[in-house]
Amino acid sequence: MAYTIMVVDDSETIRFVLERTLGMTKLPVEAVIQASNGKEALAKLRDTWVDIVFTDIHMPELDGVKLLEAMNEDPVLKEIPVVVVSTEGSRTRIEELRRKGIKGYLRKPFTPEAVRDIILDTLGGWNEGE
Amino acid sequence: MKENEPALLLARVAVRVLEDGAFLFAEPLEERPPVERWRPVGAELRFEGPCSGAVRLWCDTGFAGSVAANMLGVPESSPSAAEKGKDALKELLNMVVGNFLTEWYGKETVFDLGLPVSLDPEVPDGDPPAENAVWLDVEGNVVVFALEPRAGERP
Repeated sequence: MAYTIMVVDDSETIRFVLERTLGMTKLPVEAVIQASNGKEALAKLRDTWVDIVFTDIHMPELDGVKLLEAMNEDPVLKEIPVVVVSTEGSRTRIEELRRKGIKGYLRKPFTPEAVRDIILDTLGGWNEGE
Repeated sequence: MKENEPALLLARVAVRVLEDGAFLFAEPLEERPPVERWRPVGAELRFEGPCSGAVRLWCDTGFAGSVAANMLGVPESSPSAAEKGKDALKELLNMVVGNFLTEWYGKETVFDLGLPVSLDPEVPDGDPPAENAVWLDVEGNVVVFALEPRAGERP
């Protein structure tokens, strides 16, 4: 099975780096779909099924938390695991996000190994991939 | 915490993030080098929490192109290198500040980070950022990170 992965970040740099890093994980990746904010992500998610969403928190238009809340309200989208990609390391903030339903947390800067592990572990449960 | 410790910590975190996030090797400079012929670009990220303020990054335009080349694979001669370099600098600053604040105040403390913004074409004045600035040599380029607490607050 090859993964279809969505990367949501307002920074073109991070979208590019994460897509490139996904290519270094040696995991089978069928496609990487990019979105520059939560609003764009929701529009694309309604057209295309993805296996996992990596999203930033701080974004214009619709941030990562509101994206997560919108996905949770949708009977189809709520089944898609969400991993937050952020520089923030506060346990309190991560726990808040976990209660909202995120399946993993990836701290920037990240390595291919951390990305690979969080994809594999997230599909089976919670992982704090720092 | 001693007064100069936040700057030393900021330097350590910046060196690590430059290496891990941009594949660039850096080392702190003990003295401010001459930078009169800079064509500077900058970025700023504001934060709110137990201590509020901003961290600013200043570097030469040429270095921004190097960051874009390393992070995005954009040739430094490309017409888009400067613009992509600005985005790469903002993200670099974002990674530095997020990791710095966590190491400074610990994992139980919550900070609200703003969105990083570009500062160019402002030029750092002749008196560079004060006591909480760190000057780095990044593969021959001078890069400055300045911790600027809100007025009335001290780190």
